[in-house]
Amino acid sequence: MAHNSRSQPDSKYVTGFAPSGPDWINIDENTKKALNGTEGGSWAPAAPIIIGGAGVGIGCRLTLSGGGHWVSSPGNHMTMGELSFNDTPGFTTAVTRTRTAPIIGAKATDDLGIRANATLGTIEARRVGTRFMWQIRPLDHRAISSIIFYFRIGQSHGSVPDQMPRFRVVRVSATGVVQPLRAPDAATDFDGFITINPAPASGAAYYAAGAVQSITYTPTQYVLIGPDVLIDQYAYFAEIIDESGVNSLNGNIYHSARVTQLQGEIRPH
Amino acid sequence: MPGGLWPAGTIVWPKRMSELDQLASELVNAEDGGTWAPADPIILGDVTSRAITLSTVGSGITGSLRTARGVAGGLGILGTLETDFECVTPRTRSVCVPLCFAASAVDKLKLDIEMQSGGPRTRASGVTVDCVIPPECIHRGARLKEVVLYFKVGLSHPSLPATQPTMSVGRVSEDGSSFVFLRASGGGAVSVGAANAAAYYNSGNVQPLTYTCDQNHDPVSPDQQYYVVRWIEESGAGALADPMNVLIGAKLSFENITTLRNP
Repeated sequence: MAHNSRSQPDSKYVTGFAPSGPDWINIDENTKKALNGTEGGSWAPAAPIIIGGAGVGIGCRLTLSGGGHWVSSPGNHMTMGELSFNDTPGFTTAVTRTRTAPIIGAKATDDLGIRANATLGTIEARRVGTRFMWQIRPLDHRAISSIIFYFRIGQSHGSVPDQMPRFRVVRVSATGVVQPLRAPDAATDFDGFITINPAPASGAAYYAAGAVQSITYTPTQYVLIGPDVLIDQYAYFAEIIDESGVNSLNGNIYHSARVTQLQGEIRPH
Repeated sequence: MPGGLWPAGTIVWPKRMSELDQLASELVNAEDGGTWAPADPIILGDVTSRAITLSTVGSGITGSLRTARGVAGGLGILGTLETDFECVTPRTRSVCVPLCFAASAVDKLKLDIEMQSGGPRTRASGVTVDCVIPPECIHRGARLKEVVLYFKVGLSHPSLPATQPTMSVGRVSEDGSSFVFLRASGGGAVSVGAANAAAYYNSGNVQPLTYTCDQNHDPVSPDQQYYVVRWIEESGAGALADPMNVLIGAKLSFENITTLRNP
């Protein structure tokens, strides 16, 4: 559909027709105002340019800035990845996301070794050395930068226990292969557990008057880049082994694990 | 005509003049704007071209948008902030959640998981039960309007319990330092509130208990807190020591969903 004005109707263009100055000016103006599809450029139209009909195909990057937007009016849709199912809405720079994995529902090797505490949503270790874990459900295809465990020491201690609580995060494959998200190093034991480091100087410091304490587990393998978290192949668990050995007491309280991830794109769960 | 065929003094024949006039009239006017309906798609650029930028406030695309294929390692649509993917009209959504896989009680021997033909469910026998709502079921940034708990009274009661079971929904901080109810009235809880023993038992059929949220519910977020459904068992005169009440599941109803950023 033509939009700019014609200089003359076709019926005027007959043998002997002599274009006038205004005829040329009109054609010149129409040409001057046109988008240059070869060389590109910048335009600031006085009114919106509306293109319907067969539509527009864009084979390069299209940037909306300065308040630009795409709005799907009724009956219109955003269809992702006509030829590639990997197309998803994403972010130019990954954004940080956190999600708290509640501990209720944790399962222990000794089922009576843990119980729900009177404080809503917590688990209390009833037997020293109890080992328990719970699912943390990270977001798919997003790197995990840290997992923070929150806990309280349940009783006043005369001395620091021989073995303080240990924490780790693992991924478990559908076939049961367990892989800790930290490789053994100076801060971990062979199985990828971390503990309070440096060790408190006294039992009182360890107890900390029963206040909430936290410990940060920083992965060093398997989940360091976005595509590494693969919920189609693995389930992810936080795992704790309660204090044990000389000077150990029961009653420690464990709250949750907060998972921080870098989100590069929006995906279902 | 090609450039070489335009020598000085060229006389434009009427047919050419008509064509020139028509072509000029069909050009997209980038200064005045306007409306066009091309017979074939207008193709701008290719995958190696530089960007096209719509930089004026209010610039937009209102038709269907389709990504044919992202470039290698690229994505179809990119935003800068999580809130860039927004809904023109806030949406509503309901999510059904099980309550047995993250149920816990102080006395776990009074908490059973039943695997019946109706599916897995929690059986509480005279004990308070906390059931965590899976965090991925919390629609971040939305308003949690209500939670409907579906339960069954396990046994026929000769008389109505003095205190019927209550249900509440609470928000717990990640370190357990704060707990708040999502409802101000009734001490943060709603009661089954049956009129008599027969209605309370309801022949053992499924009953709904609706918890309407009116505080700490807008917005909800699983980022640094989590949400629990608490069931406090019947008590007092008329209550059974082991009523075998069953918690089946809950339906969460969200509203005011303004962006695509769940979970």
